[in-house]
Amino acid sequence: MQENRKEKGFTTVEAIIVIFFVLPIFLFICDMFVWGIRTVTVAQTSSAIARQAGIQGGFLASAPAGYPGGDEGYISISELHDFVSKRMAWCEDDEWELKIGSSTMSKSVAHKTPEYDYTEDISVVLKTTYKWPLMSACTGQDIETTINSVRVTISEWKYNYDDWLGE
Amino acid sequence: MSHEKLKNNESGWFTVASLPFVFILIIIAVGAFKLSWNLHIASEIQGTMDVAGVSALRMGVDEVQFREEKLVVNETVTRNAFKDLIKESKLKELIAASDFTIKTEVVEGTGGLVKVGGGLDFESERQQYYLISIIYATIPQVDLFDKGSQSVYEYFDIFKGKKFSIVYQGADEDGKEEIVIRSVSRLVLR
Repeated sequence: MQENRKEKGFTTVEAIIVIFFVLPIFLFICDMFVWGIRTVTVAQTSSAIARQAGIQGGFLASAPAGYPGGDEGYISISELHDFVSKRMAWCEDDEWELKIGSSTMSKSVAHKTPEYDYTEDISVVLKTTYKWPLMSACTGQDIETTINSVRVTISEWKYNYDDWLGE
Repeated sequence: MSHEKLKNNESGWFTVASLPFVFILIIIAVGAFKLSWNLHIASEIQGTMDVAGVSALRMGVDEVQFREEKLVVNETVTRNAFKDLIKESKLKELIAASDFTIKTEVVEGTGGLVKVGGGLDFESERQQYYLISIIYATIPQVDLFDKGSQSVYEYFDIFKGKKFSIVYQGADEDGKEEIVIRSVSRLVLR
């Protein structure tokens, strides 16, 4: 009887250590890995969008006149919205925001971008939040981090060939 | 030693042993955080450089020559455009770098290089230009994980056809980490 009681005490101390130290650390590491994967996804997605924005000179509703390949070779604003939505599907209820120059795109809104003429700067900012679900549940507080990715490129598409600077 | 005493010893030993275990776990957690953060920084720098590199090369194209279907890239314009694009992306602020140096070099494809990966066919020669960019940055690091003051990495340089090494030298455990990222972009006349 005496021995049994002693063993019980030992288990309680162990349980306290596990609950207060080991478990939160383990949850933190798990959340950390998900956060790591998300940042890489955001970085790659913004790179891909920036490169395409540079080639096309922004994203319009349909291909501009004379674009090689026509509409099939062109990524329109709705196609871009589909692409980003798929890549950011892991966001679940978290909101994401894509800014191409002055136009904003989010889960529910997609406005076409202005026409960026040849050699004009285009900045692409992809922003999302990560809510650390496991750590938030563990501590009972809402922890939130913003994942932000900025790419700057230039337009390679000339909309109007009658209008050249310096000639 | 009685049976009673043995049990006492056992429980005491186990609880003390679990404390170092907790500390080790904390160290692993901080290490995992830094690893993920560094991965994030590396992918951000690399992505920005790749996108800016192609754009900078495109900016440097001589329009007059281009209309005659000749590809001539102005090195000064390209290098300045690259630096402007990197500056505009606010990369330095993002990674909280205290020291941030950009080195760029424009190389015209000659000899064997003009056949490298034309995209459509490898047989015919294409005029092409390469932009080699290297960013040296110093970012904050946890003192504990700031190990290794010097390292040498060997890479193969396709432009010179021989190996070259990148030497990294810094101080360890000073809370600063030195990183070097290299990116090569190419512009091909098709």
